[in-house]
Amino acid sequence: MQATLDELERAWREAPGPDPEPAPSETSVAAEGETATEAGGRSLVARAQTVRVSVDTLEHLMTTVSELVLTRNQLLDIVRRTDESEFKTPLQRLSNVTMELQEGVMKARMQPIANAWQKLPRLVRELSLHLGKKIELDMSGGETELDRQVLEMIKDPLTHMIRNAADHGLEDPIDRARAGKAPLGRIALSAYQQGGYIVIEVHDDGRGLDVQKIRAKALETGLTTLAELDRMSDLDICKFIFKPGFSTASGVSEISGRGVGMDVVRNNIELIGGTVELRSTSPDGSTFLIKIPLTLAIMAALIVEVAGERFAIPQFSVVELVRAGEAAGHPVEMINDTAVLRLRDKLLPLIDFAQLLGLKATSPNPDLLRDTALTAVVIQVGTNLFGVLVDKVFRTEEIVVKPLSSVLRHVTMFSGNTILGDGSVIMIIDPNAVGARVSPVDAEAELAHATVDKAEANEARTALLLFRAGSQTLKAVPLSLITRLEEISVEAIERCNGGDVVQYRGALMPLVYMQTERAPLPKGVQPVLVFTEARHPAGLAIDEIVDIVEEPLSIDLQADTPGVIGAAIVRDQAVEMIDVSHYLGEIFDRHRARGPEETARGLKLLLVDDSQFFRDMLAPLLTAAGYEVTLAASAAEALALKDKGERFDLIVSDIDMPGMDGIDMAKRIKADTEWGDVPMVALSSYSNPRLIEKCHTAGFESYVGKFDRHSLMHALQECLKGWGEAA
Amino acid sequence: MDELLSEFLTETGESLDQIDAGLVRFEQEPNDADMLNAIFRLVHTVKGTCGFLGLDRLAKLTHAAETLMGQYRDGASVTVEGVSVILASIDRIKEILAGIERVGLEPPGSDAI
Repeated sequence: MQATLDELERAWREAPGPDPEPAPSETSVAAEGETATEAGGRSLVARAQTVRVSVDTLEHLMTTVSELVLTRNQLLDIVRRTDESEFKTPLQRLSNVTMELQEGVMKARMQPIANAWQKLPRLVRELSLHLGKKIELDMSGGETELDRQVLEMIKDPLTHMIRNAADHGLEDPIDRARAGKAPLGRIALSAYQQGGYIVIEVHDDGRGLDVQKIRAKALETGLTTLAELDRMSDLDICKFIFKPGFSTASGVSEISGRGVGMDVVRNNIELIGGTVELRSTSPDGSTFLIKIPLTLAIMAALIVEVAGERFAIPQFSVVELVRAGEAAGHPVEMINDTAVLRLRDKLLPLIDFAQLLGLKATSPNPDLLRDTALTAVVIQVGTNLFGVLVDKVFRTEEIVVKPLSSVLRHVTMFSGNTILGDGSVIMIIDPNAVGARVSPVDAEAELAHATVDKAEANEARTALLLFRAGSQTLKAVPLSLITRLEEISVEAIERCNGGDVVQYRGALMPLVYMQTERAPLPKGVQPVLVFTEARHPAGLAIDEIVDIVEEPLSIDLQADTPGVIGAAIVRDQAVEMIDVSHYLGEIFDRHRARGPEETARGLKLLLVDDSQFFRDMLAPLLTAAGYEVTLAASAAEALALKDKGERFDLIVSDIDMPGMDGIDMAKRIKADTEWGDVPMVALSSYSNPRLIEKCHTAGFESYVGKFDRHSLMHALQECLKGWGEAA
Repeated sequence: MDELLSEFLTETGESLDQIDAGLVRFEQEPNDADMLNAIFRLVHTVKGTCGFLGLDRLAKLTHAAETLMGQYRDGASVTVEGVSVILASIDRIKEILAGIERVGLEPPGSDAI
């Protein structure tokens, strides 16, 4: 037992062992027990400086100390009210000790950030070998302390960012030499404390972000428009990398570039109330800045009142407070029975918090919503923005977060509770859980929105018929779909075969009501929208026709309700976009089943359009006409179908698409042996002779306007005829 | 699980993380004798404890890693491949430790490379 460590080590080296390569199968394990005892004894000595404490013990201490702080506050309050008290001095001392105790416990929960960095050198080594780049990882400020809970949460985002820096940021040695940089690429990680936050800087001296690539990608995915891009600085353009699904990596590499990049990093960091931003980028390198709170145990929260109860909303998720209501200029509107708040030309889903929590039994009266001025807290969770209606807003307060008791854990709306200075216990709202209850403005809808924005820039307008049916909410349908507007006297409506019909131009026209439970007006006239499908008319009975407007179309919210495509803002009012095929599809199906025009039956048609709205609108029409429709959202998607060996009888394609446009796609298709003879019809919102000429040269058989349904059907039939003759 | 064993698991896990980082630094500065000694001692401690607890697979693996590092101490040139092998054996040790944590016993298997 007296042997020194060095002697032991020497003994080990001299012991028979395997070759330098660790092939331990024949290792000798002689004299193990003896040395093990020695080594164990040594580590006991080394451990004397620290004590291992379970996390639960620390949490419990923390809770107890917060209780103590509250009790002290109450005592101080009592003593303050009495003029002369012998308790004054001892209480002052108690107060100080309590404060020190609180700080001490907080400190005990802290760990140096270097713990989160421990695995990074190894990671960088592996990356460097794998990528064939020489990389040096420089870490400073590792002693900066932060809460262990936060520490755990920051590990993954940090790893991801280091990976990104090594894979995308740093150039390979040849490019570095060409750029006049040292062959050794450098990634620097530094941390420092700033107020209640820890700031972590991730810097690499690589080529910086590729602004052109990001620009192109942002346009391609429809995140923005050219006009907007031109106004933006390079740094602002680069910030698109934080958008969901954004990756400019041309190929999926083993290391990064799976399209789930920086937005995941951002989400993870925002989850703990932190922020991540791109500080600078240039050909000399780029710097990211992560800001995270020191601790999750204490946070700033907005105290609000709902139905007489107080709640805390974490400050980091609160974007702004808005006075909602007609008087305040931010009217609340109802779409699909969902309240939405119009804020600076954006529709925000609105949640009545009292209703969500069941503090108010009935659903809110929309008229009441319109009249009273309410306060909406605008909350952001990830990219999801929504409003929460509250009755009163008090102030922002530093609160001590206490975990939810297991009894309440199934109530997902709350992330914890806290005790206010006056001793009352209030719940802390979990913005993520509340956000999950909001019908999300999903990426698809945002995309549609962006595409239509682009159309707006190009001055493409759509004629819309605005009308009311059933509810007060305005409804809209593209005018081009409607054959005729009629007013039919109610007496002329007859019941036949279980449905209402009316004599119309010498034939019976079935009538469908938008609101099923609504009876026709007892007297007078009934406005009807007449739609025609394969020469068979069908009427949609409505309450009143309001207006015809020509507006750039922007679908804002994707609706889940059948019969509604989405919500849009028209002339500063929210309207519901009606899905005509939902109401009349059945009738048209009936006609088709016995109709003479069966030429289209079972023919496979490929519809290529980047806009969700047009795909949604055209697909049911084409299906109703008997085609078997396959959808593609881009030229690339269509060509991928070609490569997969899919065959179609007809292709209908938009011309103006981000990425590869319809004309280029047509040229590629015409050059293909498999698809070369498939007839194609071009769709476009503009008609000018040059474009039509271009389409014809590219190989399109026909060219029709986007909203011109009859021409489209006609063109398709012409195509098929020609094709049939040729075949 | 045996209290001794669970104590061993936590402590060894920490040591291994240090070895990871230490080795990478050592690879960059092969002349840093202090660094090598520190790593050597850590591996040695892990090996000793494994033997004491009767964890044969771990003891053999750590012994092999230690032998290789012993050669570096004696002046053999540090190669990328060599360090990779040591790091790989440390990964394997972590796997075995995770196995012990699950079932309380060393999982069976061979570690011959």
